[in-house]
Amino acid sequence: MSDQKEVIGSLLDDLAAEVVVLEPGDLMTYGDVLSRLEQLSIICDGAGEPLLARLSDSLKAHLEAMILGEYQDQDKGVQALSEGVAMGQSVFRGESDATALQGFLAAYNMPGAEELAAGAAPQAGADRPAPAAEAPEAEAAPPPAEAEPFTPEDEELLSGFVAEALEHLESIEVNTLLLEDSPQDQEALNAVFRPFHTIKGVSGFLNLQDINHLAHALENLLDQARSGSLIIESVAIDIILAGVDVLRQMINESQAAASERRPRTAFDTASLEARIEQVINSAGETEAEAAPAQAKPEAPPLGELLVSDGIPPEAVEQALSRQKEGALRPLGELLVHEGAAKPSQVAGALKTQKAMSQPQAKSLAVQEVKIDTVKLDNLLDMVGELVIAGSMVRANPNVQAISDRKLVADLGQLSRITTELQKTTMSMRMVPIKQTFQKMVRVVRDTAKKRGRKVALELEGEGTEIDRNMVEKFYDPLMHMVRNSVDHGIESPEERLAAGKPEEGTVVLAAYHKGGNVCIEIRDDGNGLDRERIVAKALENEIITEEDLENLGEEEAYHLIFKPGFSTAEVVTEISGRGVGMDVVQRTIDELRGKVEISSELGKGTTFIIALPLTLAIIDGMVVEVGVERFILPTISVAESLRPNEKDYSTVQGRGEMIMIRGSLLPLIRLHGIVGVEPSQRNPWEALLVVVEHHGQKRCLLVDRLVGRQEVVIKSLGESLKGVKVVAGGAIMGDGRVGLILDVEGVFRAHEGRRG
Amino acid sequence: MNQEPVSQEHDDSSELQAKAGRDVSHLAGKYLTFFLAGEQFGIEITKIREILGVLDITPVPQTADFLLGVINLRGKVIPVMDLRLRFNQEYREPDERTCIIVVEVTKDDGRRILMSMVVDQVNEVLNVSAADIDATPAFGTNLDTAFIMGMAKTQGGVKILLDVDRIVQESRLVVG
Repeated sequence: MSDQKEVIGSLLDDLAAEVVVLEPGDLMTYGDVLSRLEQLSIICDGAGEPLLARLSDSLKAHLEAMILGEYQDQDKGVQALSEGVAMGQSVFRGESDATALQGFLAAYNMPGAEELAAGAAPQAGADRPAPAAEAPEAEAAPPPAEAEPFTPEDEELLSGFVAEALEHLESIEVNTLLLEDSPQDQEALNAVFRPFHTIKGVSGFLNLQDINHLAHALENLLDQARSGSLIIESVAIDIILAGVDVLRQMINESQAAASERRPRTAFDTASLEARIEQVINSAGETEAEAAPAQAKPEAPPLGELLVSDGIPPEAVEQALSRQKEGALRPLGELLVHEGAAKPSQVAGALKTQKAMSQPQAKSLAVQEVKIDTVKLDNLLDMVGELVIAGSMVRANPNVQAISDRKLVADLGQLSRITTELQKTTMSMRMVPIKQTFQKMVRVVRDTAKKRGRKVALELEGEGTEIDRNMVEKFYDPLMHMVRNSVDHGIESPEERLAAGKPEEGTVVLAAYHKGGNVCIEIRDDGNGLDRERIVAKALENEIITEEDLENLGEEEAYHLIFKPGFSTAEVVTEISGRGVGMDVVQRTIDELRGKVEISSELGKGTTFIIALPLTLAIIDGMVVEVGVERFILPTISVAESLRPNEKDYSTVQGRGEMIMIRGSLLPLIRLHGIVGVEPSQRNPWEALLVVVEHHGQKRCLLVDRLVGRQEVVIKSLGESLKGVKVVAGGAIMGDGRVGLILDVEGVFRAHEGRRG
Repeated sequence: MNQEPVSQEHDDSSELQAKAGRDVSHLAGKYLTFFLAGEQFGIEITKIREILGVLDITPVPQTADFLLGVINLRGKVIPVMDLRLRFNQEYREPDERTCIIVVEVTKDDGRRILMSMVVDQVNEVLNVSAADIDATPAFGTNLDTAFIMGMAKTQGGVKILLDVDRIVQESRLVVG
């Protein structure tokens, strides 16, 4: 009985695979499908599956009509067929009942609907009138035009597919790498298999033959692994990852082709498919070890199942304790070896175990809704306005004059709600950094492999949340730095052994919150940064001069690696050191308003700490006043504020106004001159100086007054004011007015421009 | 008999169009009219998002003189230009009749820009038919004719129909 069920299941799967690639009019394949349907019908009849038998008979009749040319519209015929097979699968899984099946048959005018209706419960008609009603409509629909490659609906479907498929590929990547660590993890195996299956199905539906083909081949490979006849090891992992890369290219290409309305460039997947084939064919050799190698966390342990199957508990216990002692073989294998159990018993127990854990996999989906970020931003705007409107009502003198305790309490409640609302809205933009980190696993693996390193990547604090927009922008620099750590940081296994270190190097990626920032730490136990070599290289590449050397601190020297045109790699490798490099990292981190700290010990390793603001939407600002205007300086670039003595002020020939602060001479920038506002104070010793820092350069900004520190939501000034370099954006202040957020670099530049 | 003057008029206008070298019939529609420095102007109602009284304007450095600054439109920051200054007229201190008209235009690349303009006083919404519109004369007004789509002859006098898209897209707001 259960054997028959399995045969039916696999027949249906095969049918599904065939129907997906079925070309309308391809009589050869029609024949194959027909014979399979015949098989299915016979087996279902014998297995007491009347519904499936009915369906396969109907499909058979339908296909025969198609072959004989009685059915005019071949496209539609194939579609009906594929829907029919899908229906069969869902009936098989118990997800569809007779009523659904009857609806399907009626919708396509296939024989057998009446028969089912007669046999089905009376509510059948009332429950599902829709398919039957739709039938004439479906018939009346004009046959699809063949010459049109992309209709708008197709394009919509395609872009949906692309987005979904790329996501699937991402999860495949992550799970494949998991699989590499624990090849027996059935859960991970399924998580790799399922998305391939989906990609295969949808790409077939969209007539993306090459994608469909490759996905199908990979799915086969994984299916072998699922059935236990193949163990996913390094070679297979490589092939799957290569397949993911090619699929990604193909999917992107199909998107590009559709939007440019040109035919797709075909990809040659023959060699890859040949490799897949090879792996599948070699599967038989490993079968013996693979069969008992499945462990499921949710299902009862294998031992229990075996005991219930009549194996003496003592034998199982003995085998288990031997396993604990270090026997690296699976329990089933041990038992078979000892003669305590027959291989068939072990296999049976494994099957039961598999079946028991299967349905649980489905409930794992996280409940999420995808929202357009524009809508989210609008929501954020409105909530911000709500907070301001609320505080304006409370600040109204007439309201304040009311001494009603109820009103005061209600207003307090209102403000608590709005604050909570604002917090929640903000948090909607946040996503855990986990996904980005997990992508690094692949980066480390590939880089290590190419460079002959042995590297383990450890992830810490993956749950740390970060602004969604930020994650996307942060991906490239992070990848660059991780590659860099593997490529330049970690030594070759020989060097490591010679230095008395473990052969395998470790790169740690950690994320955590610290002082209103998200810190991302990239830590390796490699060779460390060589200050002498960095300085020598910087001199050679004329990034610094001999004079700069005297004042060059330890960390400043390390920071030289972020300068444009710097590359310490003696050999330009394929991976890093392509001329562009760490300077791009620095630029992106600047854009994200973050900063990098480096610490390193020669021979022991290097740690990069990238501090980023929690979100791009909010800036921690220092509000300063110049004349009647208020400006916001990013707190991250403010070093200190002070009122200097008159004697500290001087004018240096050719360098403009300077202020002596604790022994160092800093240029003075009159902010009122830059922003064009009439100040209330002109003398630095009567006004206030804010020392700001950017890329290691320090300047003093002359302002009237420091108002305070405030977190503000950054608003763009819009497309048309993009060219204003001294302003980074606007912020709605507590009184509803717009305050300008200054761009420190822009201010420095403007100052230099005025002087020069 | 009755039809003759009508067709005459029609001939007249098509003659005018031919002279000006462009068709103005697509300009027919609803316009918001307003006063600015003694003249009356019209902006297509479809471009207008809303009309506000005077609010606090935050000046922005490194911008053209006619850009008064930015305002907070319910949480969005949008630029404000003074149409008087834009058309090289004398600046006028705002009073209780001064209005800010918020317009939205779509750029060639499909992106939408919000911009607001200070005018002396908003007048009314007017339905202008194609027959009432003349192509832009090359004289008679002291503003840049590039920003004028046409002239509407109405009972209340001649209204200059402004090409908001061009004003928004071709005004250089940033200097230096």
